[in-house]
Amino acid sequence: MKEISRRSFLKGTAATGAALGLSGSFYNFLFSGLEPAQASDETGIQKFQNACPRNCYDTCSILSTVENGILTKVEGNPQNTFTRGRLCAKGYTYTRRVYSPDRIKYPMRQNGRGSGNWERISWDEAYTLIAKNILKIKKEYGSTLPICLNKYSGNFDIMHYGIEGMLSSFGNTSRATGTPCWPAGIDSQTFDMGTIVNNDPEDLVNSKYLILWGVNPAWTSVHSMYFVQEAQRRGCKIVAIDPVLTQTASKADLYLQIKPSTDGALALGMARYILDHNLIDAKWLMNNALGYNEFFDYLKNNITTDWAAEKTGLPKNVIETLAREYATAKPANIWIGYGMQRHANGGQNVRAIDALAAITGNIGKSGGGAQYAHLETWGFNYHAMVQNKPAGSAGSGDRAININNFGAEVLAAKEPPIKMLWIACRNPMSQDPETSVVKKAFEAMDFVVTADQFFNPSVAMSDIVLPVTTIFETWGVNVSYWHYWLCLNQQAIKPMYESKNDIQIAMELSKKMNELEPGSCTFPTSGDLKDWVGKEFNTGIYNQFGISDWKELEKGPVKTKAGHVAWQDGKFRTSSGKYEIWSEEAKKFGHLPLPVYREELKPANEYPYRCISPHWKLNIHSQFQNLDWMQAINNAPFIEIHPETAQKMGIQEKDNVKMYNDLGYIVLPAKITETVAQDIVVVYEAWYKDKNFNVNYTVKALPADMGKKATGMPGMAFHDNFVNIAKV
Amino acid sequence: MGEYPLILFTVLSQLSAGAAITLSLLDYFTKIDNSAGKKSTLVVLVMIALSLGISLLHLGHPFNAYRALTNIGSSWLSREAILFFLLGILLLVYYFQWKEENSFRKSLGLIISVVSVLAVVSSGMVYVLPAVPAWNNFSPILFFLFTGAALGPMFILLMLKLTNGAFSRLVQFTAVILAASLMCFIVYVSVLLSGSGASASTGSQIVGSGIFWPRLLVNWILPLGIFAWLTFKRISPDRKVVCSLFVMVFIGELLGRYLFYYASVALKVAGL
Amino acid sequence: MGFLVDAERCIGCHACEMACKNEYQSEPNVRWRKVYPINETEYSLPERNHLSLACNHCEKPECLRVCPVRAYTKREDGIVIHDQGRCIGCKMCAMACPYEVPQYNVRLKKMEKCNLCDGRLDQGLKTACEAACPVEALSVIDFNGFTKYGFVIALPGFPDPSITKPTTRFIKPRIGAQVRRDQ
Ligand code: SF4
Ligand code: SF4
Ligand code: SF4
Ligand code: SF4
Repeated sequence: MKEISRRSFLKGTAATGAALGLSGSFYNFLFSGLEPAQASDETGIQKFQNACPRNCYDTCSILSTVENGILTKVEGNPQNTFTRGRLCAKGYTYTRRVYSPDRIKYPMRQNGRGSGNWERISWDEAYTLIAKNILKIKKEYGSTLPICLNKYSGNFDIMHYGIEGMLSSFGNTSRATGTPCWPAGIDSQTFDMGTIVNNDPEDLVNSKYLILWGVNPAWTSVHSMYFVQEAQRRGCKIVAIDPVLTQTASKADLYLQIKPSTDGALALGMARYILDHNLIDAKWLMNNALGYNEFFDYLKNNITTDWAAEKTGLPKNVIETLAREYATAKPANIWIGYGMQRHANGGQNVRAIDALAAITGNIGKSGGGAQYAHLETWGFNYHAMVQNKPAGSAGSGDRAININNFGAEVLAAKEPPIKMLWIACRNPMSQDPETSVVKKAFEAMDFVVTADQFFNPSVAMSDIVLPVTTIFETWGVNVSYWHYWLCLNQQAIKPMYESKNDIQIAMELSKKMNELEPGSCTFPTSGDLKDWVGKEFNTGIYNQFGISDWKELEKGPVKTKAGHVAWQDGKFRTSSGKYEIWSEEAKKFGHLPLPVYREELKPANEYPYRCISPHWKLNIHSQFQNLDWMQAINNAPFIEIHPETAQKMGIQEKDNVKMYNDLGYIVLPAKITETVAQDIVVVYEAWYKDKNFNVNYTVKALPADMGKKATGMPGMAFHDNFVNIAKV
Repeated sequence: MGEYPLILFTVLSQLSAGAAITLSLLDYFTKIDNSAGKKSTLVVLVMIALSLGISLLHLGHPFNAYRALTNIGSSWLSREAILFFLLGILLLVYYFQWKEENSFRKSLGLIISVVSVLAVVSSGMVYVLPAVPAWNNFSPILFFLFTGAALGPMFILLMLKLTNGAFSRLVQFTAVILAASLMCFIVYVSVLLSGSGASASTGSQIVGSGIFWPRLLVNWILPLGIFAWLTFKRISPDRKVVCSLFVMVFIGELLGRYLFYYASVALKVAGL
Repeated sequence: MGFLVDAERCIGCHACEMACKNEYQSEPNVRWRKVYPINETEYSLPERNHLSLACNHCEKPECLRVCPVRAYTKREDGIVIHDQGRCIGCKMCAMACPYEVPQYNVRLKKMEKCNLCDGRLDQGLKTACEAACPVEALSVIDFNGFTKYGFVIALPGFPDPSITKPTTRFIKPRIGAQVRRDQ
């Protein structure tokens, strides 16, 4: 592929552009119809509001600069007091993403899935092929259930729920259901408090004691790290509990290297100590909680700090000091990460930690709480998502396919089988467990359509790829599952090449389907994308954010007016309205009603090491690490091994190491570091362009204990992956 | 292309400087046939011009190379460029002075010798950089001078028809220079190896390199062995022998210069 | 003027480096600012600490000394400016700078480096890297020749400052307590 230098691009005259072999429409960067956030001055520079839609705590407000129709830089919008006018390393690569020479430019058809033999087709040809396939399936199977959608978090912009809407508008379909990220923890907090709500992260500065439990904001929420450090400067003690000495743990006052998946044991041990030393907040419990006496009985009968020490690998005195410090500092805060719930006992562990916050009366306090996430600001109309099914659609509703065991469930689906996949905002071939099974599922299909921006491994296994716009080329609106800001996403430049927004695709496909078979698709066939954004708003949102019209967002992002301390009103959303340490609801879902310890999974002889595959700092899953600016910093995955383990296995720095189990193997250079423990290896999950690396070749589709209630499917125990290593 | 232009430029320019000195001193102290002298001057001049031309290939923008003359205040690269340029001009003047007895030419020859030495010294100074500990000493100057002294006289020997006495004295001189440069090289590498940090790694890069032994062999061991054998057998070397010695040492110097550029470890921000 | 790099705050996130690229839309392999990990064995306990470095705007800039075309100048306020217009791409500065700062742009066949966002500073703006650092670990300080209390002139891995007298100052990382299973 021809290398397009960004600079020559910016300075691009028609001549340079032509030399680079770009299509003519590309120069047509006129501004007809685009509305800038700030009036353009005579220099031709315009600024637009954008919002980073990635699956990221921070959901940054972006100000983008456009000069003569070209996006020349992005900055953080200082109006947002959480992101404070800053982006992250990934955010600052956005110009490079928009103008990447690797972008998918036109609809293409692959002659032979996985062959790389792509040919350019027109949008009309693409729609015709897709529509004919859908109609054929419907005819052959009597319903559209053989069509399965796998869409999730590659783009969390509200408008992108229109993809689900598009599938609904053909009829009943199969849907990848659940979430790989955080379901076990959501269920835990749902059992305990009725739902997930976290304090405004800007409130972290009010904590006197902060436990960062299995969370690495220094890599996954850089803007929160400012508030963590600010709390630290104001005298708050920062404790990091993590099996890996993360970047966050490196900045903590105290780091506890816990045995993986034993977090519940630590929390329960601490609770026992707090109970024994009468450090509980009895008044808070009396007023707000149910089942605490049963919990205390459980602690007295089953839990000791000696047991907790044995389980967690942390000395008893450390656990006791931690418990005392946590229980006596007021307010004390715990931030529960998603990593620690990606275990077979992850949900129970989160419940045990929640209980710790409850018995010390930290819930509902500024500077206190058990922070996980929230969905408080997500009350949109989901106008694009909610579509009527065509009259007389066969089937009794959509069919759920577990997103966390996607490959196997697609292959196993019967009556009707799954024959067609639509992939959007997702890359299952690189991010799902059991890659080889996922590949088999793709191979078994009659037809696979993927909408994406880059030729990633899922695109490689598709028949048709549709080029989609970046956030700068379309309209949208975003909120966060962590902070309390709302941000409009304005179209700043014309779509590059032939890329289109997912809703545009849905509208045009609907038109084609109705041409071929009138009434076969209910999705609107025309509409203005900006109007679609407006249709997402309602008075609830307006009141929550103190605005009277969504167009006010063109002036900048806004924050909720109230509700910045979770559960401050003491009105829990459980059926009893109380904090339920004893949860009948949990019982209904097959769990014990109390936050008890559920045994962690341990390595077997053959596979003595636990492979943890956390996030990497230069990507979000399979996004960003493929861009050349990132590649210049790092372009090689590696495996982190403790020096003693390395010595035992005869492995030296940079030696190639094979990491394997009965599922598969990968070969990576060794990075020898004491940031991991002797019984753990770390491989950061990522998609590297043109590299056959994927840690998920070794990851089994093992469910976490919870997730079914809130998200429809249990979570994924990504970090219960046992492997062996050998020098190659 | 890497540093190849620099390897060629430095070795060729030092060879030319050595040759210019040899020629002008021979002219000053002995009698040289006019046409042979003229021809030799021309060859040296062409070699200097050629080496300067090659050095331009190292630049991103060769056509703006003239600007490189503008920082003689502090840049040894500017000084080096000026001096070689000056040497070229002097040789051009020298070239037109090859007619009968000419005391101007002889004095000019002395100036040429001085400028040649200064030019080679400034070439060496370019590399005396604190950022490259292995270079940050007298060694670049010393080894550059050795290159000129080893190759220059042999080159002139091959260009001119000299009396037996002058011929064998120059051959002896070359042998002495080679022996001295070998000794200095051994000392240099040992000092590097016994050092720490970047110096030590430069030392081990040099010794560990695949061309370390070939270089030792063609640059020193073979030529010095041949000298020793000739001396032992009391055979006086003829032009053929000198010619092959010259080729060996020339190749050896090119290999040595390759090592000079590729084995030198600069200071680095650690951790990468 | 020079950079103050607070290694205690720095989380090695590369936002500064990428913000610099974003501001100047530089070539992929031309890195005016680079974030280097400090070897974990340098401190009493292993930790992830970093050095975020760009040009050090040295008091005795080697780049300026060796450049044959006088592409480098040092402003009154101490900023060492590289004028790409004059540069002929001889790479002398890259060899001479102990901090690998001047970067060769293979497309332009010229060097380039951090000019301390001179244009932004002159407009009263912060440098792009300082403005981007999420934890405010980077700042530009008015350097007046004295090492202020609490600042150090080098951290492990930073080449010998006596050569060029960099104006960059550092705040040392604090090493937190650790309870580890491998002890
Ligand atoms: S990835 Fe997260 S931190 Fe980075 S720009 Fe997007 S929202 Fe902000
Ligand atoms: S942006 Fe700040 S915290 Fe991140 S690497 Fe740079 S200096 Fe360090
Ligand atoms: S860091 Fe290097 S490039 Fe910058 S002023 Fe110092 S010597 Fe020059
Ligand atoms: S001061 Fe400006 S040019 Fe220098 S590293 Fe920072 S952003 Fe880049």
